[in-house]
Amino acid sequence: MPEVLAAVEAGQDSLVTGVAELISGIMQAGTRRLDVPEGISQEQAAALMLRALDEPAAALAVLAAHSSPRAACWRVVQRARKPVVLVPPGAKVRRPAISRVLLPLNGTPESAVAVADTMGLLARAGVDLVVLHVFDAATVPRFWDQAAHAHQAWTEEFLARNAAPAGVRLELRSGSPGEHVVDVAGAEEADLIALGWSQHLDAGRSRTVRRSVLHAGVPVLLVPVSIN
Amino acid sequence: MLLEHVAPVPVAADVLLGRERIAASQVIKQPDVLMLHHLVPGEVAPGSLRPNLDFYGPRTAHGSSLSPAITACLLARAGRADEALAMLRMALDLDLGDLTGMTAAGLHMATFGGVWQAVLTGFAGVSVSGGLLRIDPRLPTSWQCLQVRFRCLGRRVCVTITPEAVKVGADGPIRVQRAGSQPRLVSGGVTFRGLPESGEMNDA
Repeated sequence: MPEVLAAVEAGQDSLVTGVAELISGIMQAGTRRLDVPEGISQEQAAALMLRALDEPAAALAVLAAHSSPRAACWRVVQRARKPVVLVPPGAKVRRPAISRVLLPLNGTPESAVAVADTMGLLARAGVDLVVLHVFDAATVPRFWDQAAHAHQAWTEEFLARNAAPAGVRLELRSGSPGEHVVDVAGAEEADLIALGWSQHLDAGRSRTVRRSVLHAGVPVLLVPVSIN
Repeated sequence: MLLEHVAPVPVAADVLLGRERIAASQVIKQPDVLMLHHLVPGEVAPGSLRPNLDFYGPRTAHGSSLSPAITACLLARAGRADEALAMLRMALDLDLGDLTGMTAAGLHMATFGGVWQAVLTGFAGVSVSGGLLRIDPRLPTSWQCLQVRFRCLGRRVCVTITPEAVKVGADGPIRVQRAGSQPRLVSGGVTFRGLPESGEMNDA
């Protein structure tokens, strides 16, 4: 039986285990608690979590997010070969279940493939899925004819290419992806944000990742692009 | 703010920056003034095509799928055939290269029409008025030959253009004028020798 690993640091108990149990419910998986000892270094804590996550039964890890880039959580997400959920301090976790998930997609096949399995899993569990695409200078369409028609045609085509499950809703914005992820997650009252990412904190999309984790106030599922 | 600082052209600038911001700027999706030159060239001031292309070119985002082909047509008519070819390629690539991100929803047939107009009335420089077929071609330097077949004045016409000559064939008598020469009645075929004129077409 697959397991969701809840990596608990001192003082993070209820949030991390609460999120782990919610995700276990969706995945029909068990929950395994990993207590991170106090007094060890951030690198030692990261190594401990990664070893536990490497075990065959572990499907995903849930751990507390910290703002310092040297914190164990950022070391884990950069090296993990499985999805990791970061839970920011004071995250809003609405029980009894995760009912709405925001999936920011940048339109590249890599980002869509990264979260394809997650999307399928969530859709089968009856979770409401909202895909967010933000137009910036790199992703804005080159042509946009009659606005109402173009919006509908582009939306249908984007979802067909990037989001297989039926019933997925697309929100389009223009500007800074990081800011819009935070804003739309709030407006949509998302319980979770799911992001495919390259695992490079210095790469362009890491700004979206860091901003989402530190400012959205909800757990963020990070799926390494390399997994799929 | 210059358009080139926003994003590479073509770009749907209104989608990226919002309609209000674009409306307050000089950035334009497709210039209506240049459409005058395309649709009613006889109604615009003689010699005004080039200044208008110079003015609107740097301000045009080409965010309409109709813009590149028409711009190609006008650039060719203005004697800037190499610039026109770059715009023509953009139009040709619109669906083949899925530049819209929605080609699967349907092809941009109006763009196809624009491409045909760019080739026929732009590069080949074909126009018809008063029962007279006029030909004033502008070939890009990389083109060795352009051949177009079309119907006009009740005839099937084939025009073959090379840097050295313009050959006109028709399935019946037709009045033809090569720019810079007198109109003549052609029956069967005729070849006009000599390099095409450079510069703006007379009606532009």
